[in-house]
Amino acid sequence: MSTLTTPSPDVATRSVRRTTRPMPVVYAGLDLKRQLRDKMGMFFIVALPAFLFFVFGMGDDEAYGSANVAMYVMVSMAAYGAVTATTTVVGAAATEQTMGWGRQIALTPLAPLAFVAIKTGVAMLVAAVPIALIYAIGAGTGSEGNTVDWIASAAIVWAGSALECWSRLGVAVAR
Amino acid sequence: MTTPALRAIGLTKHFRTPSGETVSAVDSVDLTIHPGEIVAFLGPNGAGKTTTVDMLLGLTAPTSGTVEVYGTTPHRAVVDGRVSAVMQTGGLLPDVTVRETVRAIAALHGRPERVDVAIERAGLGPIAGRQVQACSGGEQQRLKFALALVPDPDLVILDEPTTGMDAGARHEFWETMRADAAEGRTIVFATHYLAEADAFADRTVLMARGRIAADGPTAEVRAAYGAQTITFRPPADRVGTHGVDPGWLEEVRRAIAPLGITDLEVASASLEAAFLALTGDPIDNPTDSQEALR
Repeated sequence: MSTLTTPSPDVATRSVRRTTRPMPVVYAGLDLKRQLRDKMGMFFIVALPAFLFFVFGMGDDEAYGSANVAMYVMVSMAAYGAVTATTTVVGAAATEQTMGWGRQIALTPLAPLAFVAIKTGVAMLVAAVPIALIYAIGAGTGSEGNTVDWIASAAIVWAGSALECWSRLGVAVAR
Repeated sequence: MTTPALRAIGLTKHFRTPSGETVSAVDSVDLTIHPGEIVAFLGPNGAGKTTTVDMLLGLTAPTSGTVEVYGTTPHRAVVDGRVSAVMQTGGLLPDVTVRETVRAIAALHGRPERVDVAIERAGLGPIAGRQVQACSGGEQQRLKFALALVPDPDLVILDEPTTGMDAGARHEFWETMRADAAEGRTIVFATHYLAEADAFADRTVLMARGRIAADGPTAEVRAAYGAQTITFRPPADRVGTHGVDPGWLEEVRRAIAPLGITDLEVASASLEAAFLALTGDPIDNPTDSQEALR
């Protein structure tokens, strides 16, 4: 019963708290690693769009606007991969919530909005993987267009996948 | 007077069922827990333990009443790392390793230096590299315990922490807790095992149907609960195929009344008891379930 009234010295030292801050970047890094390790997920995000690009338009030099058909299919497949990426990552967030991981996170100092930011960041980084890879394949196999075509299409595809990301995340967090 | 680790006043939580009825899960609970106490929250399933724990952690808003943790709101106490918990409803990610799980939560607490301590304290060292989905239920509970240790909290709340553990793992877990309590951590744990409360808690709060039925030193609560019963066997010639002779039973009742015995319960022998009697083992010992309560 002595424990009732006399707190041990350890309690005293413990209550002098260091001011600590959440390290969302470290968490995002672990989450990103986890996503990249998911072979099935990465197959649909990277390998399948790359394969479809190979089947439907790689090297097709017919002119299409300021670019060629190979470029057109390349952009389409990159968009497909990027949207699959954000959908997968953010869909996983919904699963995490139902599994109770969200409650573990609720017992940390992380603000709910910061969690949304982390998930968005991870989704956008994963989305960049198929875009970079398919653009690289396209550049090496005869996709042609002017500089603006290349930069603007990549930027629009990448930014567009974020819209998908947020709409899904809304569903995930609302659960 | 030090600030209580936890103070709840008139804590009440109502839930509305789809049919529009109001169910009261927790009903005006008053509770004060002081730093350094080890308190068991004992009650059957559905007694309101988990709902109470959720309110103490700020995960559920009470319908009425107030909660203070170290003189502040539960949320503030969580953010400051003063309180943490092993939740029954908390989950783990299956496709990461034990160490990665602890690292992830440690990052969110901003305490990366606590990863190794927490893993070691929860006895997870040998399985730190294992994927969570390959861990047994008991190991996953220990991992949740490690996560609760990450912020080095002053108060740990454990909701049914030994769920999924076998007897050995249970014993080991409570040994770990004992070591932790010796350091002066305040521990509140919910359980429906009387034995766990008895072995570990100084104080037991008995909950039933959302209310506190008893609150006091564990030994006193146990005494009030009536941990021992007396069973005796009637003489063979008083027992027929329809049970004990009612006239004889009435005689027994009259005979024991002066001793202050207020009730006499006649229970049919279970198949197990009958089996034991027929196979020749004496059944003059308390039954197993009563033994388990000690």
